[in-house]
Amino acid sequence: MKKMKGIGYQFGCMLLGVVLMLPLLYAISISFMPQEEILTTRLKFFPSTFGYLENYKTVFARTRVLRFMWNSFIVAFVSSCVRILVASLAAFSFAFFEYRGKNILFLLVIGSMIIPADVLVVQNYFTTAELGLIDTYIGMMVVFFISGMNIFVMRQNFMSYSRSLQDAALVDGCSNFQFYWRILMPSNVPVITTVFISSFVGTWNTYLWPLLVTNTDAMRTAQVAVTMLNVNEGSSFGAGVVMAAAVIILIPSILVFLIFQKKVVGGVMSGAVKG
Amino acid sequence: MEKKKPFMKKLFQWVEPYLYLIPAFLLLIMFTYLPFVKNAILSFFTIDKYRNIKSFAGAANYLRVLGDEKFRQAIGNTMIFVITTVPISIVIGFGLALLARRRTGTSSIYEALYSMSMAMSVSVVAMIFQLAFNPSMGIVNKLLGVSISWLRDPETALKTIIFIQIWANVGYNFIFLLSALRGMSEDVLESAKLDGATGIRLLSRIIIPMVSPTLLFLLMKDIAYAMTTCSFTLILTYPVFHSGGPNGTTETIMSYIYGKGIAGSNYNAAFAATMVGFILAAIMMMLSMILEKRKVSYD
Repeated sequence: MKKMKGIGYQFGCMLLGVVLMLPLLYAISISFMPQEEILTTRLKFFPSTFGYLENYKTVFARTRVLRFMWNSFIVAFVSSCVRILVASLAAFSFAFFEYRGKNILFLLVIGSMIIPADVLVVQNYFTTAELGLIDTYIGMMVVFFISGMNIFVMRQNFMSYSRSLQDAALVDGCSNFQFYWRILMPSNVPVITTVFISSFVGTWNTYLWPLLVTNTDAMRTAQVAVTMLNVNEGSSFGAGVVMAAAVIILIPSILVFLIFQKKVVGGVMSGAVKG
Repeated sequence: MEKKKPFMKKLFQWVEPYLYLIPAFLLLIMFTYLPFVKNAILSFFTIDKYRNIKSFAGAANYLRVLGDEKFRQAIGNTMIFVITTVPISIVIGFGLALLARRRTGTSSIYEALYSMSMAMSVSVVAMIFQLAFNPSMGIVNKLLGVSISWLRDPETALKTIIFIQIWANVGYNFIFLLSALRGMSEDVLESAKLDGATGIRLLSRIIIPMVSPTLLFLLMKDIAYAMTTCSFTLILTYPVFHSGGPNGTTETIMSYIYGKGIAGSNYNAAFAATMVGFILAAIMMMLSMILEKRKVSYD
């Protein structure tokens, strides 16, 4: 009886999950439907024929979806790497050195967290334009190079590291930088991975900034490009194609997310809440 | 030479920790503090469309922007957005986390389903719901047997966007609350149950206080996010109305700033509106902190 209840409970939870993800299932179902089926006024949950792939073929044939995804990938990957380098160097300084002005400098890092990045888009757009970085990868990435939050999280992790280890390394003839690069970073792979993944998924998914700093089709990210396909009446593509494009660009972020799901949470939480 | 070396070494030792901070602070200054200060200063000047300072304006930009009915409407919409999306999506996320707390044979599957929206970008979510809410071919009208133009009718546009935003936020709130719930010590829970605490009592006396740091973190993050929201407005209603939706009903503070500062070139309004938006966001975050503090100290 108890076991039955357990199965019922799990089934209920599962059903609720499916209901919650109906919009996603809806998109997938539509992406396999021919236009006539989508336009009908009758309620249709599933495509009537199995294996209709025209929508996907159209996406690849008529849009530069791979180019858009490549752009997104470059932006997300490079900015996450730079962000980790910048943040870990700063965190290293805060966690392993004593110097004048340290507290004030750290306060500036914390303070940056209360200024929402989106509020500054107009000014940052001008800065980027003045530097001639519109429609360049650097321009699309540069605002993501820094995250006060990441510095904070990494510092928390580095602090739990004993300084005697640093001393031992220094006695062994390591320079501080060697200690950082050869010992500290490799032994903090878990936190680095989590910061990397959450940063990757976050940057991959951003919309507003890449929208502002790109003008040409070739530089669009997948997120910006997909919104330029229109599902409403008068669309040149049709809803099925748009949903196919949506599904295609969802695949990488959902995969990364599912594989590393636990790490994403662990990493953000360890610094943000327990610290 | 012999004498110089220790000096150089000493100098290096002195500057070394600062060296590691250079990249971070260069970026922080360039893309956070400098634009912020620049924006704050410029908001008190009259500037032309090439962003040259014309004259000192005092509070005139602020008075003008606050006198703009469109902006007041944007503030109102943003506030409605915050007080609906934030609590509702946290409560739903919390409910789901309570359901999924106990590990079962299949829990990892429904955990993934509950949190999936976190991995979905606003633009893809927007496109899916744009279709779902389409008056003629969308599934919502087909299911309900009505023909409402959800995103174009001033009565429903903001509500629809709020609904979409809540759906998009649930996954994020769920996953953080789930890990907080699983981090609770089982001993405390068991002894509370032995003391006869069940249901609402167990929840309000034991569970909520124990996860309150996570709740505070989510509250702050969600408020900051909701205060600067504009993506759904920009994607779903901007292309149709060339402004913040039907009669401005989906205009938010950020979409107003976008309209003035990026789509248009009314920088006087954009800069003043940015400052107002920032101050309001800061006030909302501080209020939530005070609220949370009081609640925690009660227990």
